[in-house]
Amino acid sequence: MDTILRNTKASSRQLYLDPRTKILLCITVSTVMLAMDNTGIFVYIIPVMTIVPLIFLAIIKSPMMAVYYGILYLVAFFVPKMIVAYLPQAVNLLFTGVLATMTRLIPGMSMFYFLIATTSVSEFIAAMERMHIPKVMTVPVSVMFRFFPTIVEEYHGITDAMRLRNVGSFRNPMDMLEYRLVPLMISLTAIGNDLSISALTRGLDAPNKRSNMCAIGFNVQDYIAIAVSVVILILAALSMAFGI
Amino acid sequence: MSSKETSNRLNGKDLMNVGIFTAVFLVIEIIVACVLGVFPMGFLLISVVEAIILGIPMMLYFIRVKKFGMILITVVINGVIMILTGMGPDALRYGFFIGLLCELIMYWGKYKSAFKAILAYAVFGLIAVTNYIHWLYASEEWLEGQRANYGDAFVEGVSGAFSAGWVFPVLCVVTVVAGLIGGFFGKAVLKKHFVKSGLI
Amino acid sequence: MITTHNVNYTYENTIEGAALTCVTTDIAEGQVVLLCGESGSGKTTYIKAINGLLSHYYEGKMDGEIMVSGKDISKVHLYELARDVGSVFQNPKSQFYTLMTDTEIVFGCENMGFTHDDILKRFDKVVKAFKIEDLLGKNLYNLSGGEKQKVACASVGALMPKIFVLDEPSSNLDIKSIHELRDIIKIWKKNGKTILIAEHRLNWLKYVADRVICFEDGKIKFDTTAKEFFDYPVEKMHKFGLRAPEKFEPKFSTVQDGAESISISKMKLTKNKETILDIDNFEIPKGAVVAIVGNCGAGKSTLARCLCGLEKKAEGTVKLSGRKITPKERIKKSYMVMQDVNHQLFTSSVEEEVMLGVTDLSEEEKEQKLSKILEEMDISKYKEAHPMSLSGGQKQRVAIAGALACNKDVIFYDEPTSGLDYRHMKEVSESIKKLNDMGKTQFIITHDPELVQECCNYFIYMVDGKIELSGSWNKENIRFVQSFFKLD
Repeated sequence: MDTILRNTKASSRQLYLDPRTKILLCITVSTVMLAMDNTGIFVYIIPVMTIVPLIFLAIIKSPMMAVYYGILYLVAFFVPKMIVAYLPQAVNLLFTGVLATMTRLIPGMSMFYFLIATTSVSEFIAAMERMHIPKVMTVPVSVMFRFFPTIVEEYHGITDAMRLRNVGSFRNPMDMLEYRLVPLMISLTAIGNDLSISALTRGLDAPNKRSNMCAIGFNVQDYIAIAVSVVILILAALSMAFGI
Repeated sequence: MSSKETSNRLNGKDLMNVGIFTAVFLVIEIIVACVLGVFPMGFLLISVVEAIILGIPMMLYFIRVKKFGMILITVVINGVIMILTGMGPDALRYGFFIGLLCELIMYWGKYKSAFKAILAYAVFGLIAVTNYIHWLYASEEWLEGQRANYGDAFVEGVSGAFSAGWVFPVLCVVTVVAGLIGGFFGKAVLKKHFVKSGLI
Repeated sequence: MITTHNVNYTYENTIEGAALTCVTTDIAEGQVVLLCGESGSGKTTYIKAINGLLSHYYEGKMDGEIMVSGKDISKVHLYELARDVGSVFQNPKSQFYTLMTDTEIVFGCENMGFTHDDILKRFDKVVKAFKIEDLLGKNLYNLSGGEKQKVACASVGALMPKIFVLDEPSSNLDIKSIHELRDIIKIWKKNGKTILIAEHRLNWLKYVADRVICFEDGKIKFDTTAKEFFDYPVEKMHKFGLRAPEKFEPKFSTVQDGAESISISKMKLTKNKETILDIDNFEIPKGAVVAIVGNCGAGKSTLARCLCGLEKKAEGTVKLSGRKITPKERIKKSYMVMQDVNHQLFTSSVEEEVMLGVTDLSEEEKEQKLSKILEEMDISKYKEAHPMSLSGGQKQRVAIAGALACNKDVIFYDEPTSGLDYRHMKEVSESIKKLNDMGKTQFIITHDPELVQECCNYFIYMVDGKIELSGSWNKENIRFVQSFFKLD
């Protein structure tokens, strides 16, 4: 039978990379972007790290995201320089500077998008289990991912109900919060309760080692990506320590 | 006759609760950050607004917390996600101690006291503040490095925001106060709805 | 296989379920047992006693002895029971743990720590037996309730337990899915599994069940063979609060004098480039009680949402006696009682809830209106109670009362009787009839033949976003609806 359970290697949907590799890439990009120096070898590394997310977004056939990333980055890079002279000091303090610092945030966020878009929840869990992360972390993380869509679903139900009764306008913000969050929390805790029961009767609490059907593992491309990341991280560390 | 586990180890049910409430926490955190981040002044208000909005769901969580470690797991998950999204390691590094402090406050109230839960929640609000640390303290240095790139006028124009040393402590205090307000509000709503209807 | 001896149980928090008193049963291997009774009779609590949840999950007081395949339930852990007892629950949307069908099916096996090859073998076997190849590789959120329920069955089935317990598995399913669920139960039965099913809807199990145990107030009322049980006259079943498997025969057909009518033309809705609703021309008399029937995915809820103006992107016009009504006006004039009625109760007392959003009246008028509506909906004595502390049917009536207070004219119901016993179903139909007397137009999305025959005088049958058949109860239409609802 054709099922993803039979896969033994990361497929094109995962960009042929192990989730652990992608996590390392993510960390590498954001570490470099957050490192304070813009001197020495960083002059070359930072632009490269800025391009990396663009390449990955293009490869996973997400041109919209790639374009979006490009525009956002360019805006954050050029707009502050252009507007700084025309704005009052107070606005510059709180707005222009923040916008300029966004250039350091956008690449990391785009890598995170890439990570999420190409990794399924079970792959994350499998990766965490391979990294010997204990059950007290893996179970909450998997439940968390399971609940994101549920929150959206339930929230839509509640907004519909509010529109039908014409209640909860922004004029009474505390009422609005209450009308939205109370039914939402009631639904979520009820669903959570049912889900616990269903998972526990299928042995979630078993003390034995859990088996995992998700195919993850390192391939050639993983080793290359890891090697590159490690070199960059070492260079970054050296540069910070000795200022090369 | 019943052999319910009364030990202090976290069981499946507790871990599911952690997952659900961490999901709610992250969703609200991210939505608030995205909405407020667009406005010029907004980003400074993120932690304060969050502390108020999260009052209802997080008080419901804190009241359910009966064992050591649940809040800590929430904080660690939040921290790891912040690292992966490129916000830097501060949310994990400092968050861990904030989480530990929350746990100690809860333990102090023997996981029963409503007031200690509110207090713990107010401290918990500081998690959102950790994200500012890097941006407030390191950005100026970064901008100095960018002087060649952006020009003197630019750096003079924007760097003041980050160098104001009083900004961070004031943010912390305001966030804790907002957390207390949010906590009391959340507690009142819980009493009005969940206790009255028999759900908790 | 399963023996319970003098089991007593009370929940610490009574909102969680009904108590059991002195329940003694002995269920042999390979039996298919139908557990029936009113809501709150203890049949669900009994199921939870067998799958170990009472001893290991809920807080409460228990005594007596429960032995399941040679194990004393109170002495083994829940995860040890997972290989012996497989549980399927009522609500399809809250019992999947992963996000994909494939991983969900093997979830239990992974927890047990089976080997990779063993799991694949079990997976193949269960997928083939349940014929769910076409569901593989899909996101569980995009499946219908019936499909989710099949995956839930497959997931516990892959653990290959000897006993299956199902707690109201058909409550949220359409007619087609109930047929498929029955096929799955038949497979288990053929393989000699012991099966316990707690249900309100009985007729689909007529030729599957071997034995019927009826509960009342936490005690066993009777325990008989299925053959004998299904020969009981309808009146006797109703007396026990059970839904009776009788032939569909509409009992409510007051003809509307029909001066006014609601007409829809060219209503269309596309989502993700797929047309999910496409209605050319259609007319219903104002003040009718319209049953909207059809299988899952036929566009019933979409039609209701478009009519009441919730779908902003819907094309088409709606006219009331020739006058065009915009979506904005429609949303002001219509109300929907949702399947999950918890979503639409916002405040902390019934009176506050009913009068929420009513601003154009003086205090005195408000008071009068409130007491009149509460009286009509039969919820006066819960005036001060928190809506969430009420039963499902009472919550629905609170929601309807709110709609009445806002002078809504058209009321939609999304499966108002799923999982309700005879008495509660009857209450719902009574309040629908009351609203009919007030001249409200009502639309009821339902899979419940008994509700349709009690209170609907018009029907719409939908397939693939289109209205296939509609009208009042003439002979032909009755025959059609009869065959649609036929389950045995």
